[in-house]
Amino acid sequence: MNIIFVLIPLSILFLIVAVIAFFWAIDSGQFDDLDSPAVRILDDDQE
Amino acid sequence: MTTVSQYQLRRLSVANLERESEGGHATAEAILSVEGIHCGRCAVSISKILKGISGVNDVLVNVPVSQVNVSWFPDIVGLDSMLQALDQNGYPAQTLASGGNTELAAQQRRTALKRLLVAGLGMMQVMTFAVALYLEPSSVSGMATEQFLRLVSLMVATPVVFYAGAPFFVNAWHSLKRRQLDMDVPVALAIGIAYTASVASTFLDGEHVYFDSATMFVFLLSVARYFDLNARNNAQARVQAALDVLPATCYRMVKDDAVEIPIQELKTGDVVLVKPGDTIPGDGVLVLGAGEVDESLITGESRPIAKNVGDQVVAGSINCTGVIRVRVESVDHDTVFAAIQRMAFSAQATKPRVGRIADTVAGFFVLGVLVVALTTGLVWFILDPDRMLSVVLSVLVITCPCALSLAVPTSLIAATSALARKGLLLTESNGLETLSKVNHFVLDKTGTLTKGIPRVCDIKVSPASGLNEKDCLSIAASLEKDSGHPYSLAFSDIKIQGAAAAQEIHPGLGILGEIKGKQFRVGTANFAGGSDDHVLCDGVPTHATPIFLGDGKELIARIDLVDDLRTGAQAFVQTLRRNDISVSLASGDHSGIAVSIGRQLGVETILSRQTPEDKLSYIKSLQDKGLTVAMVGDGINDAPILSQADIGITFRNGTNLAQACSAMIVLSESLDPAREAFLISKRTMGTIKANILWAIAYNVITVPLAVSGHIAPWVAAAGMSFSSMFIVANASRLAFER
Repeated sequence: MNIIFVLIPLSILFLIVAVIAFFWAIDSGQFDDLDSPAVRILDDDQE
Repeated sequence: MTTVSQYQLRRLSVANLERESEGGHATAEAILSVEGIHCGRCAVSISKILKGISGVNDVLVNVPVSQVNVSWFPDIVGLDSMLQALDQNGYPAQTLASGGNTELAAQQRRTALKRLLVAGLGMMQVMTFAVALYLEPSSVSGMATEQFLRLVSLMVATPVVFYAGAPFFVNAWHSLKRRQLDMDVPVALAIGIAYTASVASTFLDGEHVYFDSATMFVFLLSVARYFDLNARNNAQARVQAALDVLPATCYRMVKDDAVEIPIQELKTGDVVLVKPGDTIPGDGVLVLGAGEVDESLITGESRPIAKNVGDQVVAGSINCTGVIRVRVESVDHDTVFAAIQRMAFSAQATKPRVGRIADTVAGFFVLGVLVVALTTGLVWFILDPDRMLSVVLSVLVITCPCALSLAVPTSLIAATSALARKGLLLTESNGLETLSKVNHFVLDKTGTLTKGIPRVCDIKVSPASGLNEKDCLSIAASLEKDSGHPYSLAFSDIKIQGAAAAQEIHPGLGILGEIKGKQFRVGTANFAGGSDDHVLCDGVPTHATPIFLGDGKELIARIDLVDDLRTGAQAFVQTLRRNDISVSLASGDHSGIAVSIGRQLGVETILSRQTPEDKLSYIKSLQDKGLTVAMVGDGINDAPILSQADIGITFRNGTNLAQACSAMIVLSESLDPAREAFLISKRTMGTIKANILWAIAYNVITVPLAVSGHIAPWVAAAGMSFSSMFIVANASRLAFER
């Protein structure tokens, strides 16, 4: 059972990485508009 | 933090000028965007805070969009001290920048999303540790494992409680400072107790930790708050869109040349050129040209109005035919359109608000919990000081108002998602609660109970003309084609035999044109046939609007147009009547059409020829009688009425301003979603009441046991989780009901 003393801290490390990645994604505006990118392909091109 | 934008400055100076000429003191006016407005009580405390400052003249709080309209005397007080006072009392405020506060809203949304994410990921992690802890690892692999699991739970739960849960603590603190007990107080108390007890347990080798309950609770409430925030931001965006009806630029005449200028530079006295299809930029007088103007924005009249030189035109109306020139007499805040907007928003800010169940219950509940916990502690301290801590802990955990605080938001989220599936968008978080209490519905006619699109229902042809019905329809269709007139919609699917040549539109009268060398006219009886004294003019059904076809000398045919009922209108009114709700129809149309539609639907009160002011005072009179009123409408002219009603319902294809003033938007062409919303609101309130009852009953049974020391803290924790889960499950039934 001693393996959990290694695996649990490792999982928490992953958690921290995931949170940092999400914070970065949110700050760079990736979650600001979840509706229009899906229909963007239907827009006319602008030069 | 506060930047007064260029737009704001202009607003301020306009307001200053206006008032200075009226009285001695100059006043300034601004719209503030304020965070932390949740309910009617917040509105009351904000106006108390602001009115407590000397020099503040008037305060209007608009709850659904979290905005405050304030006017003050700049020589006595500055805007900064007002913002400071609001900030100190837990309502951070900013002046509304031009183009809306989209940046602020986006920032709020991002922060809320981060909090939600931390809560969600943290909760999942803590749950896995909690499962291990439930299995009592100390009996398998010794105390070290158990202590380790508790420590990592603490590590993960700490950011969840203090980062994701921060808003609850801040709100609770401010509400206590204002000497109020609103829902955030028990929430903060619950999170705080569960967390503190667990930390104590971890380091003092206590019986049990409750990190799982604390994190789950923070997560579930964060989800609810996140949806609430989104609904508010959407409402704000719609308000902003409603302000943007006027074009960005217009054409000013400079010595016979039309020069394009930004609308902000438009001044009183300018002459502007308005092309067909363009929006008129300011109120004014027509000085050159003639045409038809669509004023439906202001008056709700769907027929274009004929305008000739010297006639008044209003900003926001659309020029349908021909190039016209307008001498502008008032711009910006002085226009009729701006006045309607102000009327709509002040009606929204001042309307009576139905109190929320949860807030009323919460205050008493928290007081009760604290009193019981304190008394228990005292009694046990005298009886058996050793057991005091564990008993008080049990009592606090048992009475933890998690279940109570979850009762309302989970039910509302479930109901909102059910509504979205049925085609109805909820923009005001307490819309459902209000709708369930409505006992009088006021319905608009055109575009609400009817489709707002005319249809040919009957045609009568004069035998002398030698034409048949099909020919007559085809001729009328060719003439109406491309006229842009709403009546032309009735002919849009009729096959045309030949295109009309030399077409002329006579505003307010009709259209003439040549088909295969013969001249035809379609329009009023006088215009089409030279006289309205004809056998065809008799016997027009009350629900129809007639138009005539002729050759200028003799009438050929009469075509009756009707506006069909919206699908679901009949069922909607029937459902309301079955639930003992009174219904009235308020229409701008003449009495014949209004009465015929009203009778057909079984509406009891029918009001015809109503101006927006008439409708507004009618709704106020109903509210004065103590009724909770819902209004269903779609036009800009309906906006003040939608605001004044306790709840407004409008349509997706309704105007932006109408949508900004409504708590519910029907996304389909039919009225069925509105009927469903009414039924769901009743069911939702039932569920909420059942949930609150459950939360209270659970406490009534378990608290005496806990107080007498019969419940171990871990049983209390399990019970708390179970009762929360029961409430979440009960609420989610709403989402899956058909």
